[in-house]
Amino acid sequence: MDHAPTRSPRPVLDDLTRSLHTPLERIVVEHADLIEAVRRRVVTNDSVPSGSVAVAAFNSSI
Amino acid sequence: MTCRCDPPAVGGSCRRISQFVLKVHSRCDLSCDHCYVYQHADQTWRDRPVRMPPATVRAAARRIAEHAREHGLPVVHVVLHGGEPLLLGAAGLREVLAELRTTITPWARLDLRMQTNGVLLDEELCRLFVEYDVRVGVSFDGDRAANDRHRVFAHGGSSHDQVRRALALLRRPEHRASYAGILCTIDVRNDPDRVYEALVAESPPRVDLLLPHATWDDPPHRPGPEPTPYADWLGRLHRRWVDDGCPVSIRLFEALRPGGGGTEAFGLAPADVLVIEADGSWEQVDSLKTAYHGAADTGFDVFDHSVDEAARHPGVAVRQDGLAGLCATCRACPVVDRCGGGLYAHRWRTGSGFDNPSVYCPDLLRLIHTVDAHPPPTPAAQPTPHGSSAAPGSGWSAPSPVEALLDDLATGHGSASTLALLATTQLSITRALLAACRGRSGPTAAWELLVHLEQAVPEAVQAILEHPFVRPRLVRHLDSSTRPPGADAAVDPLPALAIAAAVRAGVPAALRVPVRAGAITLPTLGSLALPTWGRASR
Repeated sequence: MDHAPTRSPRPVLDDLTRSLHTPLERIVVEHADLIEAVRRRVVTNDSVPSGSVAVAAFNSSI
Repeated sequence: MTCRCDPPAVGGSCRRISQFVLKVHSRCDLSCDHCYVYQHADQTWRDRPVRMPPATVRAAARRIAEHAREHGLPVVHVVLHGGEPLLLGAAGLREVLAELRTTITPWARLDLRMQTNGVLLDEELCRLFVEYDVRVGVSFDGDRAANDRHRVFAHGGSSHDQVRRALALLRRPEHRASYAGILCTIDVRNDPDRVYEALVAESPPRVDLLLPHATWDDPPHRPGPEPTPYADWLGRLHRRWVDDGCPVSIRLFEALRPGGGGTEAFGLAPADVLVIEADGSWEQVDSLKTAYHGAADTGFDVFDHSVDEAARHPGVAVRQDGLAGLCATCRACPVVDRCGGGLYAHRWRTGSGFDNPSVYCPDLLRLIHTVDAHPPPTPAAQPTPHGSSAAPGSGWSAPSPVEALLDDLATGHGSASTLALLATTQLSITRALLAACRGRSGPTAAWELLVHLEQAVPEAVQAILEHPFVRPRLVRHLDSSTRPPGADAAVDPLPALAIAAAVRAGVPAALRVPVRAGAITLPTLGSLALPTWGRASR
Protein backbone atom coordinates (compact mmCIF):
# COMPACT_ATOMS: atom_id res chain seq x y z
CA MET A 1 0.00 0.00 0.00
CA ASP A 2 1.27 3.45 -0.88
CA HIS A 3 1.42 5.61 2.21
CA ALA A 4 2.84 8.61 0.41
CA PRO A 5 0.81 11.72 1.10
CA THR A 6 -1.50 12.72 -1.73
CA ARG A 7 -0.02 15.56 -3.73
CA SER A 8 -2.19 18.54 -4.52
CA PRO A 9 -3.50 18.56 -8.09
CA ARG A 10 -1.45 20.41 -10.66
CA PRO A 11 -2.59 23.92 -11.60
CA VAL A 12 -4.72 24.18 -14.73
CA LEU A 13 -2.61 24.95 -17.79
CA ASP A 14 -5.08 27.53 -19.01
CA ASP A 15 -4.91 29.37 -15.68
CA LEU A 16 -1.12 29.41 -15.82
CA THR A 17 -0.97 30.89 -19.30
CA ARG A 18 -3.72 33.39 -18.56
CA SER A 19 -2.09 34.65 -15.38
CA LEU A 20 1.00 35.63 -17.32
CA HIS A 21 -0.98 38.42 -18.93
CA THR A 22 -1.95 39.84 -15.54
CA PRO A 23 0.40 42.47 -14.08
CA LEU A 24 2.04 41.59 -10.77
CA GLU A 25 0.05 44.41 -9.22
CA ARG A 26 -3.20 42.52 -9.80
CA ILE A 27 -2.13 38.89 -9.80
CA VAL A 28 -2.59 38.44 -6.06
CA VAL A 29 -6.26 39.32 -6.35
CA GLU A 30 -7.19 38.08 -9.79
CA HIS A 31 -5.41 34.74 -9.59
CA ALA A 32 -5.68 33.99 -5.88
CA ASP A 33 -6.84 30.44 -6.59
CA LEU A 34 -3.93 29.76 -8.94
CA ILE A 35 -1.43 31.10 -6.41
CA GLU A 36 -2.90 28.87 -3.73
CA ALA A 37 -2.84 25.87 -6.09
CA VAL A 38 0.82 26.47 -7.01
CA ARG A 39 1.76 26.96 -3.36
CA ARG A 40 0.06 23.72 -2.33
CA ARG A 41 1.64 21.84 -5.22
CA VAL A 42 5.18 23.16 -4.84
CA VAL A 43 5.52 23.80 -1.12
CA THR A 44 5.64 20.28 0.24
CA ASN A 45 5.17 21.10 3.89
CA ASP A 46 2.16 23.31 3.45
CA SER A 47 -0.63 20.85 2.83
CA VAL A 48 -4.24 21.67 3.60
CA PRO A 49 -7.23 19.38 3.96
CA SER A 50 -7.57 17.84 0.52
CA GLY A 51 -10.53 18.87 -1.54
CA SER A 52 -11.93 21.53 0.76
CA VAL A 53 -13.80 24.28 -1.03
CA ALA A 54 -12.38 27.77 -0.83
CA VAL A 55 -15.78 29.19 -0.01
CA ALA A 56 -14.43 32.29 1.60
CA ALA A 57 -11.68 32.81 -0.96
CA PHE A 58 -14.40 34.66 -2.75
CA ASN A 59 -17.45 34.92 -0.64
CA SER A 60 -20.05 32.98 -2.56
CA SER A 61 -23.50 32.54 -1.08
CA ILE A 62 -22.51 32.19 2.54
CA MET B 1 3.07 21.65 11.13
CA THR B 2 0.76 18.71 11.40
CA CYS B 3 -2.64 18.24 12.95
CA ARG B 4 -2.77 16.61 16.35
CA CYS B 5 -5.97 14.81 15.46
CA ASP B 6 -6.41 11.73 13.34
CA PRO B 7 -6.85 12.50 9.66
CA PRO B 8 -10.56 12.60 8.86
CA ALA B 9 -10.08 10.13 6.01
CA VAL B 10 -9.25 7.31 8.43
CA GLY B 11 -12.24 7.81 10.63
CA GLY B 12 -10.76 10.23 13.13
CA SER B 13 -12.70 13.00 14.81
CA CYS B 14 -10.73 15.80 13.20
CA ARG B 15 -12.86 18.35 11.38
CA ARG B 16 -10.64 21.19 10.36
CA ILE B 17 -12.41 24.46 9.63
CA SER B 18 -10.40 27.09 7.76
CA GLN B 19 -13.11 29.55 6.79
CA PHE B 20 -14.99 31.79 9.19
CA VAL B 21 -17.68 34.36 8.52
CA LEU B 22 -17.79 37.09 11.14
CA LYS B 23 -21.09 38.95 11.46
CA VAL B 24 -19.61 42.19 12.72
CA HIS B 25 -22.82 44.19 12.22
CA SER B 26 -26.28 42.65 12.11
CA ARG B 27 -28.23 45.50 10.47
CA CYS B 28 -28.16 46.82 6.91
CA ASP B 29 -28.61 50.22 5.28
CA LEU B 30 -30.32 48.67 2.25
CA SER B 31 -33.63 46.88 2.18
CA CYS B 32 -33.20 44.29 -0.57
CA ASP B 33 -36.29 42.16 -0.95
CA HIS B 34 -34.24 39.07 -1.89
CA CYS B 35 -32.04 39.17 1.24
CA TYR B 36 -32.00 35.83 3.08
CA VAL B 37 -31.03 37.51 6.37
CA TYR B 38 -34.11 39.69 6.79
CA GLN B 39 -36.68 38.68 4.16
CA HIS B 40 -36.70 34.89 4.35
CA ALA B 41 -37.83 32.28 6.86
CA ASP B 42 -35.24 32.89 9.56
CA GLN B 43 -35.79 36.00 11.70
CA THR B 44 -33.13 35.45 14.37
CA TRP B 45 -31.53 38.78 13.42
CA ARG B 46 -34.25 40.52 15.46
CA ASP B 47 -32.72 39.24 18.69
CA ARG B 48 -29.04 39.86 17.83
CA PRO B 49 -27.03 42.83 19.08
CA VAL B 50 -26.70 45.51 16.41
CA ARG B 51 -22.92 45.23 16.34
CA MET B 52 -20.51 42.57 17.51
CA PRO B 53 -19.13 43.77 20.88
CA PRO B 54 -15.30 43.97 21.23
CA ALA B 55 -15.33 41.14 23.79
CA THR B 56 -17.06 38.89 21.25
CA VAL B 57 -14.56 39.80 18.54
CA ARG B 58 -11.75 38.97 20.97
CA ALA B 59 -13.31 35.63 21.92
CA ALA B 60 -13.91 34.74 18.25
CA ALA B 61 -10.33 35.60 17.28
CA ARG B 62 -9.00 33.48 20.13
CA ARG B 63 -11.16 30.51 19.14
CA ILE B 64 -9.98 30.73 15.52
CA ALA B 65 -6.34 31.06 16.61
CA GLU B 66 -6.74 28.13 18.99
CA HIS B 67 -8.13 25.99 16.16
CA ALA B 68 -5.36 27.04 13.76
CA ARG B 69 -2.73 26.16 16.36
CA GLU B 70 -4.30 22.83 17.36
CA HIS B 71 -4.70 21.67 13.75
CA GLY B 72 -1.62 23.30 12.22
CA LEU B 73 -3.67 25.20 9.65
CA PRO B 74 -1.40 27.01 7.17
CA VAL B 75 -4.07 29.57 6.30
CA VAL B 76 -7.28 30.84 7.82
CA HIS B 77 -9.88 32.79 5.82
CA VAL B 78 -12.04 35.28 7.72
CA VAL B 79 -14.88 37.14 5.97
CA LEU B 80 -16.29 40.25 7.62
CA HIS B 81 -19.99 40.11 6.91
CA GLY B 82 -23.35 41.36 8.09
CA GLY B 83 -25.92 42.81 7.80
CA GLU B 84 -23.65 45.45 6.40
CA PRO B 85 -20.11 45.44 7.86
CA LEU B 86 -19.33 49.03 6.79
CA LEU B 87 -21.95 50.23 9.31
CA LEU B 88 -19.24 49.54 11.89
CA GLY B 89 -17.36 52.60 10.60
CA ALA B 90 -13.64 52.97 9.99
CA ALA B 91 -12.70 53.08 13.68
CA GLY B 92 -14.81 50.05 14.57
CA LEU B 93 -13.49 48.07 11.63
CA ARG B 94 -9.90 48.98 12.50
CA GLU B 95 -10.41 47.55 15.99
CA VAL B 96 -11.80 44.31 14.56
CA LEU B 97 -9.04 43.96 11.96
CA ALA B 98 -6.30 44.71 14.48
CA GLU B 99 -7.70 42.12 16.89
CA LEU B 100 -7.88 39.45 14.18
CA ARG B 101 -4.38 40.16 12.85
CA THR B 102 -2.81 40.28 16.30
CA THR B 103 -4.46 37.12 17.57
CA ILE B 104 -4.47 34.83 14.52
CA THR B 105 -1.36 35.78 12.54
CA PRO B 106 1.11 34.16 14.98
CA TRP B 107 -0.49 30.79 14.19
CA ALA B 108 -1.60 30.92 10.55
CA ARG B 109 -1.56 33.10 7.48
CA LEU B 110 -4.70 35.22 7.73
CA ASP B 111 -6.66 35.87 4.54
CA LEU B 112 -9.07 38.70 5.34
CA ARG B 113 -12.15 39.31 3.21
CA MET B 114 -15.24 41.45 3.38
CA GLN B 115 -18.61 41.28 1.65
CA THR B 116 -20.38 44.63 1.47
CA ASN B 117 -23.13 46.45 -0.41
CA GLY B 118 -20.57 49.23 -0.96
CA VAL B 119 -22.93 52.10 -0.18
CA LEU B 120 -20.76 53.56 2.60
CA LEU B 121 -17.36 52.81 1.07
CA ASP B 122 -15.08 55.85 0.99
CA GLU B 123 -11.39 56.63 0.60
CA GLU B 124 -10.64 56.30 4.31
CA LEU B 125 -12.14 52.80 4.38
CA CYS B 126 -10.29 51.82 1.19
CA ARG B 127 -7.00 52.92 2.76
CA LEU B 128 -7.84 50.88 5.85
CA PHE B 129 -8.51 47.77 3.76
CA VAL B 130 -5.27 48.18 1.84
CA GLU B 131 -3.39 48.65 5.13
CA TYR B 132 -4.85 45.45 6.60
CA ASP B 133 -4.78 43.56 3.29
CA VAL B 134 -8.56 43.03 3.26
CA ARG B 135 -10.08 41.99 -0.07
CA VAL B 136 -13.52 43.39 -0.61
CA GLY B 137 -16.35 41.79 -2.55
CA VAL B 138 -19.23 44.09 -3.50
CA SER B 139 -22.82 42.96 -4.02
CA PHE B 140 -24.03 44.43 -7.29
CA ASP B 141 -26.72 43.00 -9.56
CA GLY B 142 -25.81 44.65 -12.86
CA ASP B 143 -27.32 47.51 -14.84
CA ARG B 144 -29.50 50.09 -13.10
CA ALA B 145 -32.79 48.32 -13.85
CA ALA B 146 -31.43 44.95 -12.72
CA ASN B 147 -29.71 46.29 -9.60
CA ASP B 148 -32.67 48.38 -8.50
CA ARG B 149 -35.14 45.56 -8.99
CA HIS B 150 -34.08 44.37 -5.52
CA ARG B 151 -31.15 46.38 -4.16
CA VAL B 152 -32.88 49.52 -2.87
CA PHE B 153 -33.03 51.62 0.28
CA ALA B 154 -35.95 51.25 2.69
CA HIS B 155 -37.61 54.30 1.04
CA GLY B 156 -37.41 52.48 -2.30
CA GLY B 157 -34.61 54.64 -3.71
CA SER B 158 -31.90 53.34 -6.01
CA SER B 159 -28.50 52.21 -4.68
CA HIS B 160 -27.00 51.95 -8.17
CA ASP B 161 -24.99 55.18 -8.14
CA GLN B 162 -23.59 54.58 -4.64
CA VAL B 163 -22.45 51.07 -5.49
CA ARG B 164 -20.87 52.15 -8.78
CA ARG B 165 -19.01 54.88 -6.89
CA ALA B 166 -17.69 52.23 -4.49
CA LEU B 167 -16.54 50.05 -7.39
CA ALA B 168 -14.78 53.04 -8.96
CA LEU B 169 -12.93 53.64 -5.68
CA LEU B 170 -11.80 50.02 -5.54
CA ARG B 171 -10.59 50.18 -9.16
CA ARG B 172 -8.13 52.98 -8.37
CA PRO B 173 -4.53 51.72 -8.59
CA GLU B 174 -3.87 52.50 -4.93
CA HIS B 175 -6.90 50.44 -3.82
CA ARG B 176 -6.94 47.79 -6.53
CA ALA B 177 -5.25 45.18 -4.32
CA SER B 178 -8.34 45.24 -2.10
CA TYR B 179 -10.81 44.72 -4.97
CA ALA B 180 -11.90 41.08 -4.73
CA GLY B 181 -14.83 41.13 -7.11
CA ILE B 182 -18.57 41.43 -7.60
CA LEU B 183 -21.28 39.17 -6.24
CA CYS B 184 -24.39 39.28 -8.45
CA THR B 185 -27.68 37.64 -7.61
CA ILE B 186 -29.46 36.93 -10.86
CA ASP B 187 -33.10 37.51 -11.75
CA VAL B 188 -34.41 35.96 -14.96
CA ARG B 189 -36.58 39.03 -15.58
CA ASN B 190 -33.40 41.05 -16.20
CA ASP B 191 -31.65 41.23 -19.57
CA PRO B 192 -28.61 38.90 -19.32
CA ASP B 193 -26.64 40.88 -21.92
CA ARG B 194 -27.13 44.15 -20.08
CA VAL B 195 -26.24 42.53 -16.76
CA TYR B 196 -23.11 41.00 -18.28
CA GLU B 197 -22.03 44.31 -19.82
CA ALA B 198 -22.63 46.18 -16.58
CA LEU B 199 -20.56 43.69 -14.60
CA VAL B 200 -17.64 43.60 -17.06
CA ALA B 201 -17.65 47.42 -17.24
CA GLU B 202 -16.64 47.55 -13.57
CA SER B 203 -13.39 45.64 -14.34
CA PRO B 204 -13.76 43.29 -11.40
CA PRO B 205 -11.03 40.73 -10.75
CA ARG B 206 -13.79 38.18 -10.44
CA VAL B 207 -17.54 37.83 -10.68
CA ASP B 208 -19.73 35.28 -8.99
CA LEU B 209 -23.31 34.76 -10.07
CA LEU B 210 -25.75 33.50 -7.48
CA LEU B 211 -29.10 31.84 -7.95
CA PRO B 212 -31.78 33.50 -5.83
CA HIS B 213 -32.33 31.54 -2.66
CA ALA B 214 -35.33 29.22 -2.89
CA THR B 215 -36.51 25.88 -1.51
CA TRP B 216 -39.07 23.24 -2.44
CA ASP B 217 -41.39 24.98 0.04
CA ASP B 218 -40.77 28.36 -1.56
CA PRO B 219 -39.75 27.61 -5.18
CA PRO B 220 -37.92 30.07 -7.44
CA HIS B 221 -39.90 32.49 -9.57
CA ARG B 222 -40.45 30.95 -13.02
CA PRO B 223 -42.18 33.65 -15.05
CA GLY B 224 -42.88 31.72 -18.28
CA PRO B 225 -43.65 28.22 -19.53
CA GLU B 226 -39.97 27.29 -20.00
CA PRO B 227 -38.96 24.50 -17.59
CA THR B 228 -35.40 25.79 -17.02
CA PRO B 229 -35.42 29.60 -17.18
CA TYR B 230 -32.37 29.93 -14.91
CA ALA B 231 -30.28 27.62 -17.09
CA ASP B 232 -31.49 29.47 -20.18
CA TRP B 233 -30.62 32.87 -18.69
CA LEU B 234 -27.21 31.77 -17.42
CA GLY B 235 -26.57 29.85 -20.63
CA ARG B 236 -27.05 33.00 -22.67
CA LEU B 237 -24.65 34.90 -20.43
CA HIS B 238 -22.18 32.00 -20.66
CA ARG B 239 -22.25 32.05 -24.47
CA ARG B 240 -21.59 35.79 -24.45
CA TRP B 241 -18.73 35.34 -21.99
CA VAL B 242 -17.13 32.58 -24.08
CA ASP B 243 -17.60 34.49 -27.34
CA ASP B 244 -15.88 37.51 -25.74
CA GLY B 245 -12.88 35.37 -24.78
CA CYS B 246 -13.73 35.17 -21.06
CA PRO B 247 -12.61 38.75 -20.25
CA VAL B 248 -13.23 38.26 -16.54
CA SER B 249 -13.18 35.24 -14.25
CA ILE B 250 -16.78 34.10 -13.60
CA ARG B 251 -16.66 31.70 -10.71
CA LEU B 252 -19.97 29.92 -11.32
CA PHE B 253 -18.99 28.86 -14.85
CA GLU B 254 -15.44 27.93 -13.90
CA ALA B 255 -16.65 25.87 -10.93
CA LEU B 256 -19.10 23.92 -13.09
CA ARG B 257 -16.45 22.88 -15.62
CA PRO B 258 -15.11 19.33 -15.30
CA GLY B 259 -12.55 19.45 -12.49
CA GLY B 260 -13.59 23.01 -11.78
CA GLY B 261 -13.19 22.51 -8.06
CA GLY B 262 -16.65 23.59 -7.05
CA THR B 263 -17.90 26.25 -4.68
CA GLU B 264 -20.17 26.12 -1.70
CA ALA B 265 -23.02 25.90 -4.22
CA PHE B 266 -21.55 23.20 -6.48
CA GLY B 267 -19.35 20.13 -6.27
CA LEU B 268 -18.72 17.48 -3.66
CA ALA B 269 -15.75 18.92 -1.83
CA PRO B 270 -16.21 19.63 1.90
CA ALA B 271 -17.48 23.10 2.81
CA ASP B 272 -15.32 23.80 5.85
CA VAL B 273 -16.97 27.02 6.94
CA LEU B 274 -18.55 28.30 10.16
CA VAL B 275 -20.37 31.53 10.87
CA ILE B 276 -19.97 33.61 14.05
CA GLU B 277 -23.04 35.72 14.70
CA ALA B 278 -22.93 39.19 16.29
CA ASP B 279 -23.81 37.68 19.69
CA GLY B 280 -20.99 35.11 19.44
CA SER B 281 -23.16 32.16 18.40
CA TRP B 282 -21.56 29.54 16.19
CA GLU B 283 -23.81 29.00 13.17
CA GLN B 284 -23.86 26.90 10.06
CA VAL B 285 -23.74 28.54 6.64
CA ASP B 286 -25.85 31.64 6.36
CA SER B 287 -27.87 30.56 3.36
CA LEU B 288 -29.74 28.08 5.56
CA LYS B 289 -31.69 31.04 6.86
CA THR B 290 -33.83 30.73 3.75
CA ALA B 291 -35.09 27.27 4.86
CA TYR B 292 -36.76 27.82 8.21
CA HIS B 293 -36.46 29.91 11.38
CA GLY B 294 -33.36 28.87 13.33
CA ALA B 295 -32.06 26.58 10.55
CA ALA B 296 -28.46 27.71 10.95
CA ASP B 297 -28.35 27.39 14.77
CA THR B 298 -25.86 25.06 16.44
CA GLY B 299 -26.53 25.88 20.09
CA PHE B 300 -22.83 26.70 20.57
CA ASP B 301 -21.04 30.00 21.08
CA VAL B 302 -17.46 31.28 21.04
CA PHE B 303 -17.40 31.91 24.81
CA ASP B 304 -18.05 28.33 25.88
CA HIS B 305 -17.37 26.18 22.82
CA SER B 306 -14.36 25.60 20.62
CA VAL B 307 -14.34 25.40 16.81
CA ASP B 308 -13.94 21.62 17.14
CA GLU B 309 -17.15 21.39 19.15
CA ALA B 310 -19.09 23.50 16.64
CA ALA B 311 -17.62 21.52 13.73
CA ARG B 312 -18.92 18.27 15.19
CA HIS B 313 -22.50 19.58 15.00
CA PRO B 314 -24.36 17.16 12.66
CA GLY B 315 -25.44 19.98 10.36
CA VAL B 316 -21.84 21.07 9.86
CA ALA B 317 -20.45 17.55 9.67
CA VAL B 318 -22.85 16.39 6.95
CA ARG B 319 -21.53 19.16 4.69
CA GLN B 320 -18.17 17.42 4.73
CA ASP B 321 -19.43 13.96 3.79
CA GLY B 322 -19.37 14.53 0.03
CA LEU B 323 -21.44 12.07 -1.98
CA ALA B 324 -22.54 10.18 1.14
CA GLY B 325 -24.31 13.32 2.38
CA LEU B 326 -26.62 13.53 -0.66
CA CYS B 327 -30.06 12.05 -1.35
CA ALA B 328 -30.46 8.82 -3.35
CA THR B 329 -31.58 10.72 -6.47
CA CYS B 330 -28.40 12.81 -6.49
CA ARG B 331 -26.14 9.85 -5.71
CA ALA B 332 -27.44 8.08 -8.84
CA CYS B 333 -27.10 11.14 -11.08
CA PRO B 334 -24.30 11.12 -13.72
CA VAL B 335 -23.40 14.79 -13.09
CA VAL B 336 -23.40 14.65 -9.30
CA ASP B 337 -19.67 15.38 -9.19
CA ARG B 338 -20.36 18.64 -11.04
CA CYS B 339 -23.34 20.11 -9.18
CA GLY B 340 -22.77 18.26 -5.89
CA GLY B 341 -26.51 18.41 -5.25
CA GLY B 342 -26.53 22.20 -5.52
CA LEU B 343 -26.53 24.61 -2.58
CA TYR B 344 -27.51 22.84 0.61
CA ALA B 345 -30.25 25.35 1.46
CA HIS B 346 -31.90 24.87 -1.93
CA ARG B 347 -32.66 21.21 -1.08
CA TRP B 348 -35.02 22.01 1.80
CA ARG B 349 -38.54 20.61 1.83
CA THR B 350 -40.74 20.37 4.92
CA GLY B 351 -41.01 16.69 5.81
CA SER B 352 -37.91 15.34 4.05
CA GLY B 353 -35.58 18.09 5.25
CA PHE B 354 -32.45 18.47 3.11
CA ASP B 355 -32.61 14.91 1.76
CA ASN B 356 -33.72 16.11 -1.69
CA PRO B 357 -32.17 17.29 -4.95
CA SER B 358 -31.85 21.03 -5.35
CA VAL B 359 -35.03 22.90 -6.26
CA TYR B 360 -32.88 24.11 -9.18
CA CYS B 361 -32.03 20.54 -10.26
CA PRO B 362 -33.41 20.73 -13.87
CA ASP B 363 -31.68 24.11 -14.35
CA LEU B 364 -28.38 22.83 -13.03
CA LEU B 365 -28.47 19.78 -15.30
CA ARG B 366 -29.19 21.89 -18.37
CA LEU B 367 -26.59 24.50 -17.42
CA ILE B 368 -23.91 21.81 -17.06
CA HIS B 369 -24.74 20.60 -20.57
CA THR B 370 -24.51 24.19 -21.84
CA VAL B 371 -21.14 24.73 -20.17
CA ASP B 372 -19.87 21.48 -21.70
CA ALA B 373 -21.22 22.31 -25.15
CA HIS B 374 -19.52 25.73 -25.26
CA PRO B 375 -16.18 25.47 -23.46
CA PRO B 376 -13.92 28.52 -23.28
CA PRO B 377 -11.08 28.55 -25.80
CA THR B 378 -8.08 26.60 -24.55
CA PRO B 379 -4.83 25.56 -26.18
CA ALA B 380 -6.58 22.25 -27.00
CA ALA B 381 -9.20 24.07 -29.01
CA GLN B 382 -6.52 25.81 -31.01
CA PRO B 383 -4.42 24.00 -33.62
CA THR B 384 -2.10 21.48 -31.94
CA PRO B 385 1.65 21.76 -32.36
CA HIS B 386 1.20 19.46 -35.37
CA GLY B 387 -1.28 21.88 -36.88
CA SER B 388 -4.25 19.53 -36.60
CA SER B 389 -7.15 18.97 -34.28
CA ALA B 390 -9.80 16.32 -33.99
CA ALA B 391 -12.67 16.93 -36.35
CA PRO B 392 -16.15 17.22 -34.83
CA GLY B 393 -18.03 13.99 -35.29
CA SER B 394 -14.91 12.07 -36.28
CA GLY B 395 -15.31 9.72 -33.33
CA TRP B 396 -12.10 10.98 -31.74
CA SER B 397 -12.25 13.34 -28.79
CA ALA B 398 -9.91 16.29 -28.83
CA PRO B 399 -6.84 15.73 -26.61
CA SER B 400 -6.54 17.76 -23.45
CA PRO B 401 -3.87 20.50 -23.50
CA VAL B 402 -1.57 18.40 -21.38
CA GLU B 403 -2.07 15.34 -23.59
CA ALA B 404 -1.32 17.41 -26.66
CA LEU B 405 1.91 18.62 -25.06
CA LEU B 406 2.94 15.10 -24.07
CA ASP B 407 2.13 13.78 -27.55
CA ASP B 408 4.35 16.43 -29.07
CA LEU B 409 7.20 15.85 -26.62
CA ALA B 410 6.93 12.09 -27.20
CA THR B 411 8.00 12.58 -30.79
CA GLY B 412 11.54 12.97 -29.42
CA HIS B 413 11.95 16.72 -29.45
CA GLY B 414 9.06 19.05 -28.89
CA SER B 415 8.08 21.72 -31.35
CA ALA B 416 9.04 25.32 -30.74
CA SER B 417 5.49 26.19 -29.69
CA THR B 418 5.37 23.37 -27.13
CA LEU B 419 8.73 24.36 -25.64
CA ALA B 420 7.64 27.98 -25.55
CA LEU B 421 4.46 26.98 -23.72
CA LEU B 422 6.46 24.95 -21.18
CA ALA B 423 8.77 27.91 -20.57
CA THR B 424 5.74 30.17 -20.21
CA THR B 425 4.15 27.96 -17.59
CA GLN B 426 7.41 27.76 -15.65
CA LEU B 427 7.60 31.55 -15.55
CA SER B 428 3.95 31.64 -14.52
CA ILE B 429 4.63 29.24 -11.64
CA THR B 430 7.52 31.42 -10.45
CA ARG B 431 5.31 34.50 -10.60
CA ALA B 432 2.66 32.67 -8.57
CA LEU B 433 5.28 31.77 -5.95
CA LEU B 434 6.45 35.38 -5.90
CA ALA B 435 2.85 36.45 -5.29
CA ALA B 436 2.54 33.81 -2.56
CA CYS B 437 5.57 35.36 -0.83
CA ARG B 438 3.88 38.73 -1.11
CA GLY B 439 0.75 37.19 0.39
CA ARG B 440 2.84 35.95 3.29
CA SER B 441 4.60 39.20 4.10
CA GLY B 442 2.03 41.70 2.84
CA PRO B 443 2.84 44.67 0.62
CA THR B 444 6.49 45.68 1.10
CA ALA B 445 8.79 48.18 -0.57
CA ALA B 446 10.45 45.32 -2.46
CA TRP B 447 7.11 44.13 -3.81
CA GLU B 448 6.13 47.65 -4.84
CA LEU B 449 9.47 48.06 -6.64
CA LEU B 450 8.95 44.79 -8.53
CA VAL B 451 5.42 45.89 -9.50
CA HIS B 452 6.76 49.21 -10.75
CA LEU B 453 9.65 47.63 -12.65
CA GLU B 454 7.41 45.08 -14.30
CA GLN B 455 5.31 47.89 -15.70
CA ALA B 456 8.27 50.05 -16.70
CA VAL B 457 10.88 47.49 -17.81
CA PRO B 458 9.17 44.07 -17.92
CA GLU B 459 12.09 42.28 -19.54
CA ALA B 460 14.29 43.10 -16.52
CA VAL B 461 11.88 41.44 -14.08
CA GLN B 462 11.37 38.49 -16.42
CA ALA B 463 15.11 37.91 -16.66
CA ILE B 464 15.34 37.76 -12.87
CA LEU B 465 12.38 35.41 -12.47
CA GLU B 466 13.76 33.04 -15.11
CA HIS B 467 17.08 32.67 -13.28
CA PRO B 468 17.31 29.05 -12.04
CA PHE B 469 18.14 30.02 -8.44
CA VAL B 470 15.06 32.18 -7.97
CA ARG B 471 12.35 29.54 -7.76
CA PRO B 472 14.17 27.45 -5.10
CA ARG B 473 14.67 30.62 -3.04
CA LEU B 474 10.98 31.42 -3.18
CA VAL B 475 10.03 27.86 -2.26
CA ARG B 476 12.53 27.87 0.61
CA HIS B 477 11.02 31.08 1.91
CA LEU B 478 7.53 29.58 1.82
CA ASP B 479 8.44 26.15 3.16
CA SER B 480 10.31 25.91 6.44
CA SER B 481 11.02 22.18 5.92
CA THR B 482 13.33 22.85 2.94
CA ARG B 483 15.44 25.38 4.85
CA PRO B 484 18.85 24.08 5.92
CA PRO B 485 19.24 23.66 9.71
CA GLY B 486 20.26 26.93 11.30
CA ALA B 487 19.27 29.01 8.31
CA ASP B 488 17.70 32.36 9.04
CA ALA B 489 13.93 31.86 8.81
CA ALA B 490 13.32 35.57 8.31
CA VAL B 491 15.28 35.96 5.05
CA ASP B 492 12.95 37.47 2.50
CA PRO B 493 14.13 36.91 -1.09
CA LEU B 494 12.08 39.74 -2.59
CA PRO B 495 14.48 42.65 -1.80
CA ALA B 496 17.37 40.93 -3.58
CA LEU B 497 15.16 40.15 -6.57
CA ALA B 498 13.86 43.71 -6.72
CA ILE B 499 17.32 45.26 -6.51
CA ALA B 500 18.68 42.89 -9.16
CA ALA B 501 15.79 43.82 -11.46
CA ALA B 502 16.38 47.53 -10.77
CA VAL B 503 20.08 47.20 -11.64
CA ARG B 504 19.23 45.38 -14.87
CA ALA B 505 16.62 48.02 -15.71
CA GLY B 506 18.95 50.91 -14.89
CA VAL B 507 16.43 52.29 -12.42
CA PRO B 508 17.82 53.92 -9.26
CA ALA B 509 16.37 52.23 -6.15
CA ALA B 510 17.16 51.88 -2.45
CA LEU B 511 16.07 48.89 -0.39
CA ARG B 512 17.18 47.11 2.74
CA VAL B 513 18.49 43.74 1.51
CA PRO B 514 19.07 40.86 3.96
CA VAL B 515 22.62 39.49 4.11
CA ARG B 516 22.83 35.69 4.02
CA ALA B 517 26.04 33.92 5.01
CA GLY B 518 28.00 37.17 4.67
CA ALA B 519 26.86 37.90 1.15
CA ILE B 520 24.09 39.41 -0.94
CA THR B 521 23.25 37.30 -3.98
CA LEU B 522 21.60 39.14 -6.84
CA PRO B 523 20.23 36.70 -9.45
CA THR B 524 21.80 37.15 -12.93
CA LEU B 525 24.32 39.61 -11.50
CA GLY B 526 26.37 37.71 -8.92
CA SER B 527 27.17 37.81 -5.23
CA LEU B 528 28.51 40.70 -3.20
CA ALA B 529 30.62 39.46 -0.27
CA LEU B 530 30.00 41.48 2.89
CA PRO B 531 31.71 39.46 5.63
CA THR B 532 31.78 42.30 8.15
CA TRP B 533 28.18 43.47 7.67
CA GLY B 534 25.28 42.61 9.86
CA ARG B 535 22.01 41.07 8.83
CA ALA B 536 21.03 43.64 6.22
CA SER B 537 22.64 46.04 3.80
CA ARG B 538 21.25 49.08 2.10
